[in-house]
Amino acid sequence: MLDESFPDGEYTVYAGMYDFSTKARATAVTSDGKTLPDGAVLLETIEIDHE
Amino acid sequence: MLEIVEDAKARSMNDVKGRHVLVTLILFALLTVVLTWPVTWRIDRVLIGDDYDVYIHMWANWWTRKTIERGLDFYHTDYIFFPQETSLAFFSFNHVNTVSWLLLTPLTGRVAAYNVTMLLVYTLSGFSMYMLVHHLTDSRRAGFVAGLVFAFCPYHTYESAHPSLAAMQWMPLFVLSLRRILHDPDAGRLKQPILGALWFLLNALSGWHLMLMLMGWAALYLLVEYWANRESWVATAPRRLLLLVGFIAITIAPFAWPIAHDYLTTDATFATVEIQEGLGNDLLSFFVPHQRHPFLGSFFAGIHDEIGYASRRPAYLGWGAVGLVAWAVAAEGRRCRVWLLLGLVFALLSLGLQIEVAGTAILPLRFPWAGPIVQVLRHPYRLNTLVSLSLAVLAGIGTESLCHWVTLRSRPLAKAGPTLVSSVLLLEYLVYPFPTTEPIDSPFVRQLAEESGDFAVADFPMGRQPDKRYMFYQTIHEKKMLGGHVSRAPDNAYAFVAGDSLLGPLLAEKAPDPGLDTRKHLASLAAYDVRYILLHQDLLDGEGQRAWRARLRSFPAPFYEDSSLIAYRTLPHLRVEDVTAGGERRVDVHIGDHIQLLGYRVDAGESSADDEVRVTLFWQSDGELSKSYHVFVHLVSERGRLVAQHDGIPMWGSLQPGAGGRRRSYRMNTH
Repeated sequence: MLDESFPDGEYTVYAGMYDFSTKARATAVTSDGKTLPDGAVLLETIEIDHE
Repeated sequence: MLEIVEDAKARSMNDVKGRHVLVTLILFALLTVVLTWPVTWRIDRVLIGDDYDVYIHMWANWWTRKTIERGLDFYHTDYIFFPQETSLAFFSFNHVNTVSWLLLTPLTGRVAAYNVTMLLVYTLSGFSMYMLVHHLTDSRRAGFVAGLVFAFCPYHTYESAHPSLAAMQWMPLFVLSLRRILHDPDAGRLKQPILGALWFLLNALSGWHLMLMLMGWAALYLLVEYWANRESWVATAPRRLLLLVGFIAITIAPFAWPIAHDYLTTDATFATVEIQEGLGNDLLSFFVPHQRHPFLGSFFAGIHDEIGYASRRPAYLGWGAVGLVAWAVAAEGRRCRVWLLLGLVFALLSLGLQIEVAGTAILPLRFPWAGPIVQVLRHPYRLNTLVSLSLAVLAGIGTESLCHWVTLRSRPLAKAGPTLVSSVLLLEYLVYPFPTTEPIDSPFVRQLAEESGDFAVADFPMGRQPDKRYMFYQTIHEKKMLGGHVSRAPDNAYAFVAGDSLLGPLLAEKAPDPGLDTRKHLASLAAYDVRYILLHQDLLDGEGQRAWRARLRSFPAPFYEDSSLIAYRTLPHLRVEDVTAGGERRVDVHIGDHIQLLGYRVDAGESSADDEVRVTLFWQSDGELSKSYHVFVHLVSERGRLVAQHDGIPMWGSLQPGAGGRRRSYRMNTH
């Protein structure tokens, strides 16, 4: 759920995994061999509009 | 000077004796190669013995190696009858053979190692009997003939499929030690009791049935010996016997204890065998040649049919061997009486519940001792081992006596005598081709071996006999299986399968309830780490295959199919291309070890009520994880500020590393 105080605008959704014991991010590698920064996979950019 | 000459003589005698022993051993090895032909020719392509049981002995070797490599509990496993733990206390191990297999496998490969080990059983059986009868008669030819009888009698050939029953090579050596303990004043106080205990231990570790048989034999032998030959016992015999018993108890205890403990601390009523299950010898089977005899087998086919099961478990003594026994008894009665009595007693006990001739009981009499024998050995015919012990010794004594008699009349004939006698015996015992089993193989089973993850498979048709075959497959794929085999399986062995609404009917070879949602149920089996259901259609005839296909009609399309088996996956193996059905977007990103993000769906903005952003992730793991992973989903503003996040463990399971967690190949996470 998004807070009402959230400003409208564009937001990007990232997902990934981390080792629960060390909090270290798991590496994320695309099928063409590219390693993603911080192990975060960019999923989608969404528009938040409270109107 | 005289002492030097005598020492030289003694050394020379020992050299000759050593050479004779070596030559005899080589001779038995050569005979083994010839009489088990074509096993040596196909040493790495067939398994010696013609029965599904050869598969479970390969499994025993594999399981022993696995427990050593992984430090697992040897006597308890969930690799069979998964997911419950099963005791292997009643499994037919031959630990001695397994040690040989472990040593030979790196040199020869696992199939050849199994066969070489079994060929050694035949060679050593002949050789050890030679040692015993040579001691009894001081005659090499008598020892040789006795060795032939013991090693190559048809019953021993039949037991080639059962290493835990065929490995009887330690028995004559134990008997030799026992003889020397009782009668040899020069045997030493400790040497023979220690040797006797060693042979007894090796015999016990070759098979617990063999140990029980030898115990029974030794007890009866001592009684008869005491009655018949007490006057020739050496004064120290009782003390040596006590030492022997003590050494046996000390050496056996560590191996017997886990089995005794399981037996005493759990409900072992399942180990009870109904007396009707115990198969005894048909009286005719002692006198009818083996059905695999190349010349005589077909000639006696009609009688084999009448004998029924006994034709597959031959007890044929051999007319030549019986003739030698008759000669021995007639010419050397007193010397033979102990062996004859023991042979007759065990022949009687091997008959089982009743005396049957050509499959029909000839007397209404039921032997009261059959019950206990069935409880201990399952099949009374297994006492053929002890019958052949007496038969071999008596045939040896008969050979020596006959050759002596002939020598007095015709020296040339006496020289040819042992060869003639041996030829007659070998001709009678001939089995060709020697029973073998082709090792089964399957591309899918090899593919399964490559698949990472600790999961189970359910093989159908499931049951005591086919499961032996699947256990051989398990030695290749190394995954757990829902079926299995132990000699005396617990009543609840198939409880998981029987209690499952999809697998239970299949176990009973019936169709599952048509109202059952098969896909949903398969998913629930996946939650128990059951990944594949395999139908082994090479075990079925055309009608059987049609019946099984009808039973599996509600199953999804097979994951794999060839002429030997059909594999159904409990959860479909998700591919990137598959993640599109619900408006999901596809990605293909590998995360950490063994995790793949295949797709996602983001529901936000106008389509999302209450300003909710719902993110659904499609994950797949293809193996055991080395870490405990959590999922994060971040919402980041245009300025790169983290404005919202959700963390959590992957849903539909723990995705935890190690043995504790359930691992599933496919999961959907909504955040």
